[in-house]
Amino acid sequence: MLRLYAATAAILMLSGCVQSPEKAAKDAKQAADSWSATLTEATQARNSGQISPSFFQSIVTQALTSLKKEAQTARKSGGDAAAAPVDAVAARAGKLE
Amino acid sequence: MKSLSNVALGIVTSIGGFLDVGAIATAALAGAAFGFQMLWVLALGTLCVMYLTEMAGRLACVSHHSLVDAIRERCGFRYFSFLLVGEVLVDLLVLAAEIGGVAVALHLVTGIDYRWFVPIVAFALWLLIWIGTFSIVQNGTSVLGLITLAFVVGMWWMGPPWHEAMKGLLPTAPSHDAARYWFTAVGIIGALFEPFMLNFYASGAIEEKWSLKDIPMNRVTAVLGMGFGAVIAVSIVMLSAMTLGPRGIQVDSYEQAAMMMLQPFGSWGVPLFAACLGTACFGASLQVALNLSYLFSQGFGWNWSENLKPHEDARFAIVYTLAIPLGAFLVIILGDPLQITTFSMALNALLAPVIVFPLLILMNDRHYLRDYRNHMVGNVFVSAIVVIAFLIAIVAIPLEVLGG
Repeated sequence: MLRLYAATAAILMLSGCVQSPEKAAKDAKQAADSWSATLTEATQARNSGQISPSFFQSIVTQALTSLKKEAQTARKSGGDAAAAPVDAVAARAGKLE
Repeated sequence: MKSLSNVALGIVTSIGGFLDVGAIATAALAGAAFGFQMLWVLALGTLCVMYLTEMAGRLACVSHHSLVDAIRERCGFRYFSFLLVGEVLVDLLVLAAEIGGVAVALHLVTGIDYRWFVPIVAFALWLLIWIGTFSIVQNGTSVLGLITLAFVVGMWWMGPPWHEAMKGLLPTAPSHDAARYWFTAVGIIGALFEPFMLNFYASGAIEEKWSLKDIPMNRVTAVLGMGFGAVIAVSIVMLSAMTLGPRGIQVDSYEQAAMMMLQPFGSWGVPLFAACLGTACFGASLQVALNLSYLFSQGFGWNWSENLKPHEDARFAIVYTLAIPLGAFLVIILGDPLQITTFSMALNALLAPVIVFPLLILMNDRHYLRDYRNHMVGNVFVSAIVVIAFLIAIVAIPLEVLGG
């Protein structure tokens, strides 16, 4: 019985950890879209005086850190093509810094 | 007056154990990614937590034992040692996440790196416990915690589609991203099931000298206190669903979560979010630090009470004096408070059965509860939820560690 539990847990863990290139590309695209929307919203909020320059800067820094991690993960599983959308948003964030 | 004080204990327990860094993060994340679809997880978890809290209070009212004290007496020292090791590890990690949450709140307002605030927050926390009494901790957190009603105001201001929200209360299969949906569900349940909360509540009931006549009030307190936390958490999900979701913003950082307050509150949005996050996390830090002292003192039979001067219960004071800097150290070493939070929530779900099942045994023991024992339906309901959360956590923790 114990072996059955261990085997089930191992299968579940492995199935969650092995990432296909398609999944990597989809996740990367999702992260890129989310950060792109965040940057657009933050830029509008800064221009209308709703957020302080320091908070805007925090968002940009956070976006760069997060996108860098996403790009690394995407590149490892899905190659440069998977990481391309993330790189594009990171470049946009870099210009805002 | 006593009734108000009782309800305050419920609200402070709710702010610490229910509405903390984990609940705010998971609720914002769930709303942004799945709209109103995960409200049923919150509703189910809330019912379970209300029932567990009521049980811990009833145990204190009838037997005058705190939870840890009773577990040690009923299950023996060996089981208590196992519980002690597990709870100390999890509580320290949760304490780190909460201290980190307060530091992040200050970072959101000032723009200064959150790590600079960690020692200041830790010192303020220690000082308040050192010089304060249980009433100050309880009433101060309850009153300050009312600021989290800003989430309810914001949600109301946005004019939510109530029909859609009501549909979210019925369990439904995910419309997309099934794996993420269930992982978020574990996160929500993990954020609700914080085992330290139960012992804190029972210890608070003993500090407040509750007795048999307080049993009805205990029920009201558990429902109102946890209900307060639930209303706030539901408001966060709905606000996030109405502001972040439609714009395609997912919550990967506290900065993104804070943006949910911009639409209803304009330039006050970010400071208000920071105030809510900071207050909730500070309340939770007080609770976890005190619970660590309760845990050791009740388990080893030392003098304990937040109402005593530190020299009257020196070992009680030493525990939180050591735990708080250790928690602060962990935030600085481990980094990213949001990740510490996610991990500690999964550990909470793993630890829950270790404390909940002995509680169920105690709640059915005539020696402790006399005629105030549990009903079968409650036993089955709580056991089922805890077992499910535990099984999911077994899978969730390795996934989290391996980054799957």
